[in-house]
Amino acid sequence: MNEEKLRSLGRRSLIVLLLVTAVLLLCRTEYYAGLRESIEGRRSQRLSAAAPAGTAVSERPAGTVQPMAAVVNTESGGHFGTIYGEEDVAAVFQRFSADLGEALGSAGTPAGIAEEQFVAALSDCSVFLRFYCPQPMELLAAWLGAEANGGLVGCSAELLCLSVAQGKALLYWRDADGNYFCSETAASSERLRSRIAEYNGNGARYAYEEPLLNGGDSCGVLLAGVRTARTVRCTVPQYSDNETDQLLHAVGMNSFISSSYTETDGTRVFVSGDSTLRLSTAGVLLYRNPTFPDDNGTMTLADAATAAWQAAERCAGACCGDGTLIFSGISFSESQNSYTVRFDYAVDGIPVHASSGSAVEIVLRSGRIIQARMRLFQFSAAEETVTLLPDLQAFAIAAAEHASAQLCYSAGGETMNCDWVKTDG
Amino acid sequence: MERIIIIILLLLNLFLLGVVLTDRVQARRGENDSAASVTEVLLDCGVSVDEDAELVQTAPAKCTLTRSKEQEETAVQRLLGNTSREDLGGNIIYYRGTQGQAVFRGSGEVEALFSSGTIRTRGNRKKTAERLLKKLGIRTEFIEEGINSADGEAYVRFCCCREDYPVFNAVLHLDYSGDSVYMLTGTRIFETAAETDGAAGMDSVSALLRFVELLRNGEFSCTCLSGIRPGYYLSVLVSGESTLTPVWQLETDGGTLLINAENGRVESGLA
Repeated sequence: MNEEKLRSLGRRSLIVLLLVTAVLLLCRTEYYAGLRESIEGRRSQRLSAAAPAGTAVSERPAGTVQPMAAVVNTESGGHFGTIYGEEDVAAVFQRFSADLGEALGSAGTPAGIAEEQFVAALSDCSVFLRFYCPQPMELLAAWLGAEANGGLVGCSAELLCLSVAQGKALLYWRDADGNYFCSETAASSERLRSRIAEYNGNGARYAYEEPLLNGGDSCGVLLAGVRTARTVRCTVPQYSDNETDQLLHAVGMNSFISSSYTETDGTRVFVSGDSTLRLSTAGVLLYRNPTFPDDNGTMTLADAATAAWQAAERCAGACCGDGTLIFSGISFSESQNSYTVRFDYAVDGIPVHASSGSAVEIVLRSGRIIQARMRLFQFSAAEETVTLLPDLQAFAIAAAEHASAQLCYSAGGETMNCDWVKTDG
Repeated sequence: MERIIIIILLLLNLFLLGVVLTDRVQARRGENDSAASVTEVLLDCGVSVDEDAELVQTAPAKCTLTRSKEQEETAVQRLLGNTSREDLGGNIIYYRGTQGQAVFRGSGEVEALFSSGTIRTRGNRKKTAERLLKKLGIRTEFIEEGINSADGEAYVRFCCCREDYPVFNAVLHLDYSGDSVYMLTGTRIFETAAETDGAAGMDSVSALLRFVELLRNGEFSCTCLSGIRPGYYLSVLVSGESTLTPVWQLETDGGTLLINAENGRVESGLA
């Protein structure tokens, strides 16, 4: 009996062993590897389609932090300049983003300086950045992984210069009112110097280096060579049912429980509880959620900007074709305890100007979007380009009126042309 | 009944073993064919290939590493003894301990100065350096040791590693004064893996074809390829977060080249 039991146990153990080895061998076959790849591919597709709206506040909106122009000023006096949507703008910014984050986080108390001191920093070993709009420095620091030093909270910078002088890394900036400031930082001056040394001049120059441009913005960036821009077609995007669901998710509405109807002018209206989203045939999206959140939670500037960007990217950014979204401002209302975040479009890095104000405006309170207004556009850039006025001529015309010059697409018709416009500089 | 099941399972195992072996043989044959083809293409461009060069390999997956200040502090205490910590802002932390002081940055850069005589060489500078770096919790690969021409003192250089793959631009430099280490500088990799991108990037054959394109465009010139190996290139866009991008390091008589396995770009900044 015992022998019989032992034999039976032995057979069963052998069966289990053979099953295990069969499974292990199956896992090593090409068939299994292909099956696994196919399952993982389908899973990642499902996850990306069901991405929750605006919850991952830790994501950093890299695209919105893009400067409009970046210039590396070498020790020999040369300038490597790049502007608008050129790949080099992103590459230069990424090369120095960690240094900038360190500088913003460790900056000492800002000291007011004269314009001449700022300009002097541009002539030495430094990196210059010009943004599309004045950037709140605590927001810029947050997006670069740092916490802005207390002295910088409340400050904004349209122009930034990170400079190496006398063995220290100094942060210079110009705010929206045209005032100049400087702070010492604990960023590594040696690393900054070695990175700046990787660049050679490419013929870029500043407006202050051109005698013809006296009276205009001294920090305007001029590049050598012919200036061209693509012709862009601007249309209203058409949304499928799936894409409409994604719009609803982006602002926090649940497409499964929303009811919808179409008004006589073709405007589609979606209602879910107290939330209403209206999508007109002209591409205007209006969202309102008048319910005040009960938690009275606080939201930081960075959290508000990031949440707004995520919603804007999923709505306006998802259908804008050859365009991109750029951050164009943030403000806080104490009475409403809410943030208003604004975005605009850009094509090839050149901002699109609309007469009706910002393309996207999102209002947030206590971590939730309570209001959103978006002009939805789809941009198609043609391959052929148009030659524009050379930088020097454009800046000279603007300097005669004590202004600066900037390229801009004007939205208004189906075809958008790019041209120079005067700005306050 | 059990005997029948055993026989069926035995046959199944034999069948699967046959499939696995056939797959292996075919894969090996395919690799040899790829290696032969790419060698021929390189020879056409005037570049000979070293016999020992392993031409068919796969790249590692891209990953994101984040800084853990707690783990960093623990590692620093192993290195410097009991330490006090000062946050200088901008993710720059200054540590002062009984055996020296150090600054750790959110970009991965580290500068440490050791008190005189605290880290003595016990016969072998390379082993002493390895022990020191092990205290920091960093896996490394030896690059070189030599003598500084400026002061005549010795130095040793290591490259950080992630899962046995070298991170080519994360290099740590140790300087000696006499028979003890007095300074550590360089770039380290962060402690915590945040996520890994499943896609591994182009394989070595694709990287070699990209190399051929560079040769044909005149962007690089050499006459002999001595080796190709996979590794990582470190980039820090946001303080405290780094991305390890898979790259291929090509060693030639015209210099060393790093080709990005994601987009084929030639990476600069090789330390």
